[in-house]
Amino acid sequence: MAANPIFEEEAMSNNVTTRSIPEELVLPKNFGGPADGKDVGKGDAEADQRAILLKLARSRIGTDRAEKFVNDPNQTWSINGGRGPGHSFVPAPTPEQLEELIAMGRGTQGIFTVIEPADLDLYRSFLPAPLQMPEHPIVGATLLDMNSGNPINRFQEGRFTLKCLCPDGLESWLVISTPVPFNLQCREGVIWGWPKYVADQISFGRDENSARAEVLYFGEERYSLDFTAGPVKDEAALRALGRVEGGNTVSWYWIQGGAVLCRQGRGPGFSNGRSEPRILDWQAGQVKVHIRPSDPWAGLIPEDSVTDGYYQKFVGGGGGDSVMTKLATVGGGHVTQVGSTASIRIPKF
Amino acid sequence: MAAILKSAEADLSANMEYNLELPYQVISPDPDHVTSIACPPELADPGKYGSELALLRSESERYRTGDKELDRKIEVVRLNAARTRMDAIQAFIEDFDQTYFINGGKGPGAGRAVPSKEDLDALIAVGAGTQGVHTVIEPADLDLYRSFIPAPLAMPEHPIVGASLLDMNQFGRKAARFQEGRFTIKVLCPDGLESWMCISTPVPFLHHTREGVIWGWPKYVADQISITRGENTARAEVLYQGEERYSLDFTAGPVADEARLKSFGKIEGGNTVTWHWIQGGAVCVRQGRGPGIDTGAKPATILEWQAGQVKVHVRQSDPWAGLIAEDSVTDGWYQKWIGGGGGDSYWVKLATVGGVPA
Repeated sequence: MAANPIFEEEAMSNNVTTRSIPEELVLPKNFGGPADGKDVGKGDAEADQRAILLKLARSRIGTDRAEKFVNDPNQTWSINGGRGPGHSFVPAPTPEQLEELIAMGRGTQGIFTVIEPADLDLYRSFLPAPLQMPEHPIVGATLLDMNSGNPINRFQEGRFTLKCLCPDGLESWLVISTPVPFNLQCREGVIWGWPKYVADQISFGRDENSARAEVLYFGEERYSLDFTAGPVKDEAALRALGRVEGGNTVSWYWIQGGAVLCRQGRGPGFSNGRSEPRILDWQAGQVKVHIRPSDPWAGLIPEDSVTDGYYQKFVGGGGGDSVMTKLATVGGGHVTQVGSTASIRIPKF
Repeated sequence: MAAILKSAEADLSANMEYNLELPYQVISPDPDHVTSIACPPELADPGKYGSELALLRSESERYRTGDKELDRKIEVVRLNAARTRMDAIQAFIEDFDQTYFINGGKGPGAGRAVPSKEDLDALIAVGAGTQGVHTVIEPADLDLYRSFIPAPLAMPEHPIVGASLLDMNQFGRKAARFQEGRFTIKVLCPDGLESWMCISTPVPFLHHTREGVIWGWPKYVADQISITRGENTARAEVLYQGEERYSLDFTAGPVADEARLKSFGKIEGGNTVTWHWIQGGAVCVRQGRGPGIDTGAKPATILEWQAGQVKVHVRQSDPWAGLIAEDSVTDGWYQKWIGGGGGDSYWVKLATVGGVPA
């Protein structure tokens, strides 16, 4: 397999070139379109390597757009990555395409549960202003195996979230911890304000009446969800949760001297024209959630909590508009612009 | 055929390996079961961390010489070292009661060892050291300059822009070598000292961008970064999406005030301030105790120093481009040095903006 990056140097000389992305893959016009996934995962190491470098090249474009948006105080919405309404990146599949995807095993699978917080003061301490306590504080714990069309795009992501009240009066989910298996998603995540870390490994397995998702970090089980099918108190309430935080998360984007709060999504109750995903598998049961006790957020739920939850697999959706909503900017202004809303604490030296 | 269908032709049940600065394994016997591995279990044992780091150091010269198993170990060890460092830094940043972060949390006196004269000579003989092109430029637009300084940072007595690009190869280890552009501005910090705030920092590796972003260094992954040193020239170039986004061209020649240039040392090096991400805000931290304060570090050995003119190119669509004249040419210097080691590594928390409950 080709090494990445490519080093061109005389050993220990003063001349060095470090190439991360081959010249032919850096420009969008050379990306080659969605067919890039066709040849990956079939034992052709060159094709696999090319696909991952394309993914890095594309990722840079996405993060550039996001950075531009969050740094522009005059922009409140970023729609379809700045392309505007009606220019969705992902078209909704036709019914025939959807059937073919399903036949091939496509879809995103996940384990989901919500948990009553064990400590409301701790919960409150995780909600920085102007976020506030929601009407009904609740913790979300999920882990997704996202299969976005080809093995190069497939990745797993844990999400530990808190329901919060946003300045626009809507409730969303604030992401507290997000393990991922790859550096690339990790870099994107921290720019987006998703507190991601690279796990040793993340595994997801689904069997007939069970599913297990596990995150290892330095050899230790840091986050895991164990699902066992069984009767639940209120299946309709669980179904109403959908993907819990999915499509309605808020996170704090980094800016110089502060942070910008954005919702990924227009907000609950607003249609963005996206097709509803097809639910391929949905099963209720109990979910045991394990969090490494030394993590600061571990006390938000009882140790090794067991609550009603569900496994589900879904595919499709697509279409509609991808909307990012700017909700607040904290700090980031120079001295003459800072108003009373920006809390600044300076230690005693 | 519609695009979505073509993507669907890929086989999700296949095991895969690919390399993005680190070999990743994806094991998927069927679509419902998958394990993605960045760090295999045999390398994830914290108890072996010390011996792993020793491996990274001792076997570095064999990196990328054909032993793929060794390459993998070195790359994973590098990931582990970064994760350990990041965890310690994050804990410091999020603890409002901690003002100083000394030697990565190990406390005073646990800093880098001072190399013996023989060790230093051996490193110099193999070409180890850090080289860079440096210049400082009077700002072209003071209002724009001010707009880049978030409170409680303030305008310094003498606003000035720093432009440098470093090729860091301090210990002669191939796995540790990397290049980093730094476009900085001088600022006044709340403790009354002046430091340099990083405005843009291209690097060639995701590995360093992730660290950088967490540290508040606005890093991005370039297509490529090169540095070329000729007898009386040096050129450092950053390509991004096929375009020259940042470059420094050095040509040796007479300068107006060589002593003044020498007094800048590494410009921002050892005295940078950055904004670390926290939920709902940012924490301003100086990497360094501050200018004029001795941390006990031995002085670096300057291996080469040459004065001349530096032409700085910044992509004109970058928001900070207007801080200097287009394709500015100013007195500057090329230098190569090797650190003396010793002393304490200090990080100083200067301010926390936001991050508190309502």
